[in-house]
Formats: sequence, structure tokens, C-alpha cells
Amino acid sequence: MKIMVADDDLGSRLVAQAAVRRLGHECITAVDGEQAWALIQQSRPEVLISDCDMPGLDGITLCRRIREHEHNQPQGGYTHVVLLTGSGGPEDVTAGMLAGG
Amino acid sequence: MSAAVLAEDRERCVAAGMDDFVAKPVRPDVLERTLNRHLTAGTTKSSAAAAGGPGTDPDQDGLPPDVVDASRLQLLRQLDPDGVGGLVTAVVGAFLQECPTRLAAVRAAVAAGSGAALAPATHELKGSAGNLGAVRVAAVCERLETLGRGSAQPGAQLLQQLNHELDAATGALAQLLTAQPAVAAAGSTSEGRA
Repeated sequence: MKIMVADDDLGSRLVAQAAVRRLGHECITAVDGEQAWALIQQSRPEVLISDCDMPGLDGITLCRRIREHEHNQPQGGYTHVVLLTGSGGPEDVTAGMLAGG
Repeated sequence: MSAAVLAEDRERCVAAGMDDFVAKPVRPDVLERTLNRHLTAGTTKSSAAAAGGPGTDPDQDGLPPDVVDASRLQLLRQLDPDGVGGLVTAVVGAFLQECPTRLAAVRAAVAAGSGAALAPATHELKGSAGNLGAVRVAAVCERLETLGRGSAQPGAQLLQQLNHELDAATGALAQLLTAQPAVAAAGSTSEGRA
């Protein structure tokens, strides 16, 4: 499986890439949102793992752009998006996802 | 960070159409479980319960006891594809190299009295410190970040504390690099602290 990791922090990027590779997946890396967007269109990864806070095009806006593109081109496939966030409990996002899902 | 700020961030992520989130610093086992949930369960979003346990301690009044969290480093060692410490060396090297710039950004933000600049500057340093298990540095950054987001001015003492913790962490990490047998064998050029 092709998985993209987008993070402007080199250390974080190295760790996520190592984790993805260890799971046996191909890993493409991007240093910011714009590069991630360009590479996503080029190589169509199944999954995007992206930091939220990146300069320029941040993770949340990138996710929104991906979904808009998918809406306009439904035959283009679906990219699962996993966002990397600052520390905190997951309970509130579960509620949000179930409500919106 | 306040629960309200976190909840707001998460709502924005959900509204943007994300499938799941993983809290930083990334733990490989949590990432794996998260990926498996979405890739084997098809498109059933409702089956996506939250990623198990971000693995970070809740906010404490005091700082964590260890300068560098050994379990985090151990995780990085286990993640290493070659098993000779290359990943740890690379990640520690990146941190040590970027530290002066990041600290300067925090100092500049404090000197300018800018909460708007302080929050992102400390957030970045917190992230890279946490990635390596420099938990005391991350904890002080969290305090500074909270002040920055609230447009409050940090006292000189907190900045001094950041300096102190950063010195301790970079010292410990640099020592770690020189202690790794693979580093000597690979002829690494990373500098240790006297």
C-alpha cells in the first residue's frame, strides 16, 4: 500500500516514515502541504498521514482540498486521511465523528 | 492546552473530512492500529473508534521526572530498520541542529511581547522535543504555549526554565549519540557536549 507522510518537522517525519515502512508499506514523504498536494495527485496514495500544523497549506486545509477534489472526481478514488495532532484525549473526536459519520 | 481549544481543533479536523487522528508524539503501535481500522474495515466510518491512548500523561503541576523519556527512545530504536541506531541518530541530530533556531524564535517572540508568535514557536519546539522523549522541555513549552494562546506574557523565570531544560536535554541526547557503538563505527560527525 502507498502511504504519504506530510510533516514539516524532520524528526517527526523520520519517525512516521519508519513506522509506515516497518508495517511493510511504501512511504512517500512531503515537507509541507503544497508538496503533499502535488504528490498526492501524482502518485494517488491510499492513505495520507499529515501533521495539522504546517506552514502555508496546513493539514486541515489539505484534507478539505482532498475531499473537494474527490467530490468533483468520484472515480478518482478515496484517500484515507489521518491527522497528527497535539497531545490530548480522543473522546471528543469520537463523539464528533460518530455524529458526523 | 485547554480542553476547549483541543475540542475546537478536533471539530475542525472532523469537519474537514479526516478519517482519524493520532496524537503526537507518534507511537508506532497506535499508528498501526489506526491504519488497520480504516484499511481493513472498508469505508465503515462508524467503526472507527478513536485511536487507543495517545500515551501522554495528563497535565501535571510539576514537570516529568526524567530529562529524556527512555521508553520513547527505546521505541525509536525498535523502529529502526537496520537495528544499528541510524534512526535515533538521525532524529536526535535533526533536533540538536534545529534547537538553536527554535529557541531563538521563542526568545524573539517573548522579547516582542507577541503571543501570536510565541504559541506557534513553542508548539514547534514542543513537538520536536516530545518526538524524542525530551518530556521536561515539552512540558515547559506547553506552559509557554498556553500563555501565548492566551496572549499572556511569560515571566523571565519560565524562559530561564526552558533554557535550563533544553540544556539538560541536548546534553543528555548528545551524550547518547556518542555512546552509541554504531555512531563510532559509522564515523558520525555529530558533536558531543563537553
